[in-house]
Amino acid sequence: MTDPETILIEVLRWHPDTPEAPWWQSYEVPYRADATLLEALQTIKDDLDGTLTFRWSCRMAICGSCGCMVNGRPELSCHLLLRDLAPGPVRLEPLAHFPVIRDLVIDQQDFLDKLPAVGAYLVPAEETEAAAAAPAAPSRQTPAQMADYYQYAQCINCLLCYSACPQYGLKPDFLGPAALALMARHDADSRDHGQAGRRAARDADTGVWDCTLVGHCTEVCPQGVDPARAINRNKTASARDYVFDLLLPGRRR
Amino acid sequence: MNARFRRSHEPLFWLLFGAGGLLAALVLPALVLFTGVIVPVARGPGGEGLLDYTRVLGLLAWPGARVALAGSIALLAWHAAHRILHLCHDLGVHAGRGLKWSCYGSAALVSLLACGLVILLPSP
Amino acid sequence: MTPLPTWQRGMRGWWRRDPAFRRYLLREATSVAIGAYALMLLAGLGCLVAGPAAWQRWEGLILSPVGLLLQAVVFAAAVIHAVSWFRLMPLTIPPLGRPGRRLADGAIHAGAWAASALCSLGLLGWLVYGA
Repeated sequence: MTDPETILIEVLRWHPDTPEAPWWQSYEVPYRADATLLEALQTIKDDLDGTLTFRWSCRMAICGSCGCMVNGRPELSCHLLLRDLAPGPVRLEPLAHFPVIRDLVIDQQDFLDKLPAVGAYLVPAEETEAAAAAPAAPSRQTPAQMADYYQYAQCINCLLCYSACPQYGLKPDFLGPAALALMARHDADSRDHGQAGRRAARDADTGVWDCTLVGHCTEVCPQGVDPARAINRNKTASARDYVFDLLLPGRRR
Repeated sequence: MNARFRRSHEPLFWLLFGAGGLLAALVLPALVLFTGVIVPVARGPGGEGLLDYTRVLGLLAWPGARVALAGSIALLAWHAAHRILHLCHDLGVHAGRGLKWSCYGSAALVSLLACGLVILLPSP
Repeated sequence: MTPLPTWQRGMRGWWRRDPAFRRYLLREATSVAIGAYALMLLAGLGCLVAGPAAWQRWEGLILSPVGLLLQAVVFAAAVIHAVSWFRLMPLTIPPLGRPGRRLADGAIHAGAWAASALCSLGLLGWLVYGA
């Protein structure tokens, strides 16, 4: 098979000046077997249509900026080679479930608001009441202890999992896959003492309980984070605390 | 950060759903295989079947079997009610409280009936 | 700062976007068949209490062509349910074993299927040879 000269890329576009009319626009982009989809978008912007708007930064699947729907599936556009998409057409849409600001650019504010709500940061022992008296000691960790959270710590906040989660689309208050995986990541860290502070968010309807284990978040994650596992293990933990709090009223927080 | 979150009562229903789901995964294929294939195929020389009235009463003479039967019917009902409720939500039916009460109410009713009926079962 | 004007898309027909979503809905829909089977068992229990005549009617009903067809659907649903339930099981239970030596998903799958085989054989043995 000879390589094609060009590949057809169709982009769902939206501009705030014409809010009633999103439209599909097609571009014939020169085909190169070693080019990524992001490079094709850059070619469009440089040579064909300077008005096309999209986010990008690192070009190597670690900054998490260039996510978009590729043929209906959330992907990092820098993580796909044109040769795997040929002969096309390739249909690009902005990440599902998020408000669109323009073309492929979505508004991530909702996720940024949810990150602090799940306590996605390490709480050192000094900040807990019990350890206030003890002098600060270095926080040592064995490789085995690190292995318990390392996978969850690989999240790059690219939001592909939110676009893969119909429950987030149906219930925008749901804290969502990445935020809840980061909650599990910090809970599982042997150096962390902030579990109690994360309970309320975990145990709420909008916490782990809005998840129905569709599992697509894990399938689309470019970093192998497995948010579905993080959330559903926390369901077991949340249910265990619910039962104990019910049976032992003094335990209730 | 805590004022924003109210504790969910979902764990109660999720545990019943999970228990029913585990039970169904463990034995339901075998049980349906029994009632749907083995029973119609296996007939004794005198025409007696595995589901003959006195034989079934004999099987259920043991109290443990009665508890298991009522418990299984109840758990399968809770499992189904929970998933059907979420399926309705997934398909865009947002009936709110009414749908929730009718789903879980049906499961509770099935559980009550199952418990009552095994108590009323005659001895062989 | 005034918020930017945005375009919010709806969720109508979201399951058309990916076959994974349709597989998920199929998994969830098995609950309808499982619920129907629970009702069938409940009806049988009621007929058993009502007496031999009612019991015979129930047995006739579940062994009629319609009853058998229904049970074929329930069987398919039960198998889909079991396969998906055990596949997802490692995601829902707390990590087993010690840090650094966690039980692999494959071991949990194998254990679950072994337990299923054991319970199924036990149940069938009791139903066929018991009493």
